[in-house]
Amino acid sequence: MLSSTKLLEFASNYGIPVWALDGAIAIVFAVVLFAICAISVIINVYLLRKISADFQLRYGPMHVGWHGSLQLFADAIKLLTKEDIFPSNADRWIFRLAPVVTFVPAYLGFLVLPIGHGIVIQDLNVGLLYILAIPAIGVAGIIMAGFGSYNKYAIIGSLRSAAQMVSYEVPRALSIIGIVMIAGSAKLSSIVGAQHVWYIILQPIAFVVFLVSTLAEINSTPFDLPETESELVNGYYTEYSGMRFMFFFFAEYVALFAAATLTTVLFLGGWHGPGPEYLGPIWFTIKTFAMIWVIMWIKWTLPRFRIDQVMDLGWKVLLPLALINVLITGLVMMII
Amino acid sequence: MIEQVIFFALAAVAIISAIAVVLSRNLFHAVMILGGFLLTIAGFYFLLNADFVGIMQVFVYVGGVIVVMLFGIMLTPHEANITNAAKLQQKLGTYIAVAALIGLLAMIFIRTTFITSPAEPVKDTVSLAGKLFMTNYVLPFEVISVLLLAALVGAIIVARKEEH
Repeated sequence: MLSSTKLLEFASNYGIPVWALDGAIAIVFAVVLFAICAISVIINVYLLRKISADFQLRYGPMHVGWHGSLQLFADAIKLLTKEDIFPSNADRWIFRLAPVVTFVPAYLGFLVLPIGHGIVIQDLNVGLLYILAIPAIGVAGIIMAGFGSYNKYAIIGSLRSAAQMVSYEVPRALSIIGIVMIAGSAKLSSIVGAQHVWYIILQPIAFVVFLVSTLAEINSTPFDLPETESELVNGYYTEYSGMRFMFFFFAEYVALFAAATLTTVLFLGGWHGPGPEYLGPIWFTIKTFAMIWVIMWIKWTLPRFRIDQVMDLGWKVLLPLALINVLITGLVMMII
Repeated sequence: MIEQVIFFALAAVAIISAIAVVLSRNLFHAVMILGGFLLTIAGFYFLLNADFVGIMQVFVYVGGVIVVMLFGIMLTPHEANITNAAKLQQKLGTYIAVAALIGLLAMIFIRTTFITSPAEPVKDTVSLAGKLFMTNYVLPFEVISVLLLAALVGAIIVARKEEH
């Protein structure tokens, strides 16, 4: 995608060096990606509030704009103009950096996602590994938030979150191995390209394991222990306010969006769909939002686990299931 | 040209953060900076076209080792600022050990002739690494898997002991 031949010709005509062109393109992509993230967050939060209201037989936001559609902009403006509070005992640098360290990895995951045939910013050969490794940096950000705020709720929340994310990374990564085996590549565009039959049909066990551990990774109910309102006030970002709070909020919804897009790429056939190829991104978007709806459906239906149940499920159920799935996939591939 | 600029920028960040890790009085800060340092090492791998190794560096070190270290710091009681003055003997010993290490490393660097390869960098490192693991390096690969299994079993035994 970067520096296509036409652009290179254009650059050489005007005497622009290649690295400057690459840099300019990279900046444009970064801005576009950020805009997409911001829009997706706004849509997701609106959907979340409306869907949760629907599940609880309420209306949800109704007054600002048509059916409350402008409510999120009002909320954003409110958060931006709020006072920025530092707890008196906070570790200032850690406290300041934590929202950034949490947010940036969530946003970097989109770098390798193919949303259409050939529409991807950086089609890495190790794309799948990249997308699994990047959220790992976010864990450090969450621990920083907990430690930096000097607050018992924040520390407990961040410890729970880190334990949960580190534990569920294992079954999550293992569940995907079956897909890599079938597709024969760790490049996301090749994985989608190989999906003539959606992998949700070929890899049903992997799908269940992946979905459950993804819910745990993005700290969504029934795995929202890091921010259990009834126990920990608001978990690791209890002490944050205003702009910094917004970064955490943003990171959470970007992570939700990223999880839905990744599930689409891996299990729901990515851009594949009836009609001509240029409709790919539309199919991709539809599948992604269907996935977001499923995640929200689970979120508003199931009650929360206890922390020991979460750990048990991760290590004693999902991990063996993922390993069995690898075994079955290997056996079936050998027979066929 | 651009590669050299990136290399020296990364090298500067790596050296400064490595020094900061050692000089930092706060253990938590030291580990956080260590995480940054390990990320710059991943940057070097990417610069060398070793994308698989680079990703693994992020996955294992930043996502695993650093998080476990932070756990260790947060779950164990510790003073925020330990300022035990070192004894003269300890200082002397440290200086001698560091000087010896620097001398040794310098000698290795001077005596080694670094080979540069004119070959084009490999495009698909993952599949190549996979093939090599299953052919040329199958014995080390199996030995590592036994080692990891032993570590896993050991961890379970250590965890069970505390229950009794």
